[in-house]
Amino acid sequence: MKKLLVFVLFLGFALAGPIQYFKVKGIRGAVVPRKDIDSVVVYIVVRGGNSYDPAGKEGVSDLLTNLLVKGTEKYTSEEFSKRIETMGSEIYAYTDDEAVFIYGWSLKENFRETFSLVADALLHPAFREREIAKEKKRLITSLAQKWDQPAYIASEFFKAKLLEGTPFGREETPETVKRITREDLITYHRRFFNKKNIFVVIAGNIEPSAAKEMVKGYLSPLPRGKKALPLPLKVKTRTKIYIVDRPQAPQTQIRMGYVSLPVRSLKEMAARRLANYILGGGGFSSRMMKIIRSKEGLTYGIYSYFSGFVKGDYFEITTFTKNETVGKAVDLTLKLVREFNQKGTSHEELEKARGYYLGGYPLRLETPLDFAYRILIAELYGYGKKYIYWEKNFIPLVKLRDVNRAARKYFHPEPMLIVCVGPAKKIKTQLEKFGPVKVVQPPRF
Amino acid sequence: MKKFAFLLLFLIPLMAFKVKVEKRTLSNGLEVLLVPNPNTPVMSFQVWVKTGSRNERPGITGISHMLEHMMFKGSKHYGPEEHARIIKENGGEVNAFTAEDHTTFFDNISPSKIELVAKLESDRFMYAKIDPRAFASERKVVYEERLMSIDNSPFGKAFELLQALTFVAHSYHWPVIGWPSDILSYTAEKVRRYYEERYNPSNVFIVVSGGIEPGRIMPVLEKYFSSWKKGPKVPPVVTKEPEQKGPRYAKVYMKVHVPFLFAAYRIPPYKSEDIPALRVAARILGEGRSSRIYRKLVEEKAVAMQAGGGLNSMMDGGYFFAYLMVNLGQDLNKAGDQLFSEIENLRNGKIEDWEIEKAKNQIIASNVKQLERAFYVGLRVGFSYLYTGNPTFFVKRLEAYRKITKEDVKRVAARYFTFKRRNVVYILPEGGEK
Repeated sequence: MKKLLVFVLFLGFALAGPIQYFKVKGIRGAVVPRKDIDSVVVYIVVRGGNSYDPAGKEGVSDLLTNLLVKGTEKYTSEEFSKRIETMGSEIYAYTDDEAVFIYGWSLKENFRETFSLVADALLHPAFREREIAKEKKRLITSLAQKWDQPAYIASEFFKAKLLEGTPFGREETPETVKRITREDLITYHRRFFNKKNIFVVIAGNIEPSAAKEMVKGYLSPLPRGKKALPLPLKVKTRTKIYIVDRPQAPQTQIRMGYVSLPVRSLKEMAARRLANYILGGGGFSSRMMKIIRSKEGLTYGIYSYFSGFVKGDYFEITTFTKNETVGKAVDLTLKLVREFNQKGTSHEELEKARGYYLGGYPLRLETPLDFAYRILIAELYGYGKKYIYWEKNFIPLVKLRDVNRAARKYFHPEPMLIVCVGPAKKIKTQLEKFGPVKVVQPPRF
Repeated sequence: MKKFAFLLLFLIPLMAFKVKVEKRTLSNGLEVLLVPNPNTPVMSFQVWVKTGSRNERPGITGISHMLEHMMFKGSKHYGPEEHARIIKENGGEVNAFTAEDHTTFFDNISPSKIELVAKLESDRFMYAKIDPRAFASERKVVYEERLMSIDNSPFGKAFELLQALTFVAHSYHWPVIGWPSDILSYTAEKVRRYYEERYNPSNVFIVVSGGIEPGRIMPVLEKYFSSWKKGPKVPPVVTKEPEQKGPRYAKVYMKVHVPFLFAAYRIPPYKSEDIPALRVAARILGEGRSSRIYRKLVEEKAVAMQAGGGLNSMMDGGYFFAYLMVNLGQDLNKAGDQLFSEIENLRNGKIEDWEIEKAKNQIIASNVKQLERAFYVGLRVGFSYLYTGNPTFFVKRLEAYRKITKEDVKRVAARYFTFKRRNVVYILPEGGEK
């Protein structure tokens, strides 16, 4: 263990041991020991994800992720699942825009075996032709099925339109999935599954030395490789309104938002999160919930949030309302955003939002899994170690003027992309006062 | 396949299952279950009301859920949603959920806020305001919730209909959220009466789990809840679901690209001794990538995008459910036949050792995982108490799983998973009806 680098960060409460950062055989990671529970989790992030799919073959990352748990060189798909599930363990893999995540959970007694299977999936996926064919069929069906669920359509269509022309706005279609070959999967795996490009977190009832020994023992055959560079997000939002037509839908799903300016520091991120809490992120405490749900009864829920990439992010408001009140809901939402941008917030609202973040972070770090995920996010987005306790480290530093600056900089009613999924006949005229409306028909599968 | 896994999981002394519950009773008879765990910085404060959609009748279906919403709309000392806002401003989470057998309200927050939580909760349980104007607005919110979760959702629609098919006499027949016409018909006055009749210490118990000190909690609860007057008990539900004598089918035509089906076989009440064997059977059949349904339909035949099943166990009975979403171009009826063969053959065919091993270990492990959160500890204790009167029944039941044999699984499969007891909802693309 000559190359072991240990960074110790003491936790704010006593139940978990200190986070130990390490580098073993060129693999970086962290261990969070906790003695009072019976389980251990391993969570691995591999930089890559959907946005790195080859052009015209969108879907490679999704397909590869599904296939990671569908058999290795050593085990068939069935054998692999049996081994995991017979222990009561869990292994999942999923992909997002910028990373592939692999997660393994087990009782502490079975962790070594579970970890070895996670490593096997990571290092030696078989990509058998029969499994590829099956998973392609499933993936294509799942693309069609998304169009059966209005909330999914709204979110996916909104994102695709907002980020059109960037690596994050490319669409996976049955055609792109059909073009993917075994060679594409192997190439993708070779490119991203390497020591420089992964980060491993192990949390739970395990000695740090044992955790590091497992990383060394099972993951060291990974090639050295290269770290994937983050992709740029260069696109400007223009005010546009789309309706995805569902003639018989009794309710309309609404998404509104824009590509945001990036935050430059964790303190600025804290100010923006406080601002967003006040406007639309704070549940019943947010202005949007108070007006659109509680006062007007227009919806069951309305929320706003920022979705992040390493090099940028976007702002999104999500809600739904009956078809007759779509125009009113959009109008009131835009008014709230405009008012927030122009007038900002008050000391009282700020202190209430501050109370939420400062009082609540132990809830958000209750289990080893919570810790593991937060450490991975800090690593993936380059936030640094101070992000683990960002609430404690940065929320107290934010002043009213910081939040009001964030309100002016990050929240604006124009330009705004608006996407509605509902019956065009009933909602189009309600939306025309906000700008020209384009009606889109769902694809056929 | 290694043989030790089964032995390990049952023989190791798991910390998660050393749940200690202290049962106390306030001077007004209100029961309190305290579940301290010094290792967590979180407290889950839960108020359980023994009324849900099971205790409703036609005309007022969904009223328990409507009342749950109104419980957030203000009380004697707090304005609409003020309770929720105060909890959030103190770093907590607050919410509630209504189910068939109960309505549960919870605040997950630092244990240091116990006095604040007790003050807020007692105020709404003793003095909720059910103001007609707030009611009119909230009814619209509930209607939107129904549209979102059922009427505009193929899965929601399928589940609503499946439960209605499976229970034709018992009040599990209607959805927890209520039929649309009922939501639009009840008044603030009706909801207030429902509140006055049911929300009293005779029908309520409190669970507090997490980093709490029981000695500190009880005086606080006594201070805020003891003046709450006892009232009548919720009338018992006497209707029993008659024996099903043949399969029931329903078809719904919707705007879907991917047809799917949900199926259900009715099972006995939560307390029944058959439940552990049924849960093992459900795991073998439908839970995980190594389950029979998944292996047959997704892996071997490659006709399904997704397929599996599970168990929904309730006070007066429940159901084993299975689901099947076929791949594009596949025949749902044909794939459905394969699904039903897998379910109904469980009683005849061979059950492998590893299948039993897997099911039992999954049950143990999933319990361990859940019990890492104070909130789920509270829920498990609450459900156990609601259904059996024993707050640690769920731990005791884990012992019962240990004894389940292949013969037990075959016996319950033969009894409950039969052709005659089958209920199926097909969700099909529009146009297919012509």
